[in-house]
Amino acid sequence: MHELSIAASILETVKRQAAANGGGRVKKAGVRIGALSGVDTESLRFCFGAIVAGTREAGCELEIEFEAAGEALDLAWVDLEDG
Amino acid sequence: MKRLVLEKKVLSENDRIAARLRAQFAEHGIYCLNFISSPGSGKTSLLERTLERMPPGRRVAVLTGDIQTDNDARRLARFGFPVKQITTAGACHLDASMIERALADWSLNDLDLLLIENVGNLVCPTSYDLGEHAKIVVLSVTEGEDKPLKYPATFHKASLMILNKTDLLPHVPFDWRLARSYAWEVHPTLEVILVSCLNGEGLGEWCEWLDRKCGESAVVAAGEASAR
Ligand SMILES: Nc1nc2c(ncn2[C@@H]2O[C@H](COP(=O)(O)OP(=O)(O)OP(=O)(O)O)[C@@H](O)[C@H]2O)c(=O)[nH]1
Ligand SMILES: [Mg+2]
Repeated sequence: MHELSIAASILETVKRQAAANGGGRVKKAGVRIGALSGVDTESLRFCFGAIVAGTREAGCELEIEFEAAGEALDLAWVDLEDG
Repeated sequence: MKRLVLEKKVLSENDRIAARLRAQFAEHGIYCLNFISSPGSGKTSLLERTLERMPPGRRVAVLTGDIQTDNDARRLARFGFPVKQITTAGACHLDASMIERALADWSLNDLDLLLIENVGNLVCPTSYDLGEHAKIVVLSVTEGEDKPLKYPATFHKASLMILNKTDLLPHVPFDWRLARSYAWEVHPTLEVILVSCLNGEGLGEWCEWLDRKCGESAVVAAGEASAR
């Protein structure tokens, strides 16, 4: 199950972006996943929840936009709390 | 609250290392293949039969990934080519940084062909570019015809499907034409070669495919070298 390492990559980028943009907490991250990406959206959501728990990003939600075609595996945006 | 638009690939760090590997392969004229399949479809068996048939003078090396054990590396080392086991300690796939580390103490100048056996898994390895020229998916006749439909990402990204264990066709209810048509539903231009690593059927066709690709890649490399 590689969703755990995908979730870790997302969290790392999310943290870096938050730090570089005023240091506010990240409330939500928008992720785009294509049907041919090889990533299961439910297990990604589960893994992300598990790795943010207990960190500063605890409670950060993933908003997953699933695309029926294509191999997208993108971090589209993050919502930052005013820092 | 402010929204920050990023539009970044989640695996951009892996992609960056893979691009670096690809550039090194091009510079040294190395053709690289990434073999993906479920556990036990016959990746190592195919590599054994391939090394056995290597034309004289072709300088080949093998990296093989597994979660545990160096069994596959030991099987492959018998043929006298450089082989290295990458043990992922739990990870279900190889990533580009593992390849870069494994290659660090090999002289790329001495290689023409790099064969990478991924961890046995039909899903996870697909997302990680290793800098290879092509992915090859191995499917065996005991796995059911519908695997291309159930695991479309791998079949979509592969350039060639090796349908292995054809010696078992008389014994299992597996319609290889149906499996091929499912694969073509996901990837209409996917090349397909039927082989048996046990009785040797189809291995000639596979070795010709490999020779052709190595030849094409050598022509491209020579062109780039003269352009430099
Ligand atoms: N009958 C038959 N058996 C085969 C053939 N190819 C491989 N096998 C057997 O299938 C089993 C698994 O083969 P491997 O080559 O180890 O498969 P693998 O894909 O490398 O397995 P992992 O690395 O563990 O994912 C072994 O028992 C092989 O002997 C074939 O063409 N016909
Ligand atoms: Mg193997």
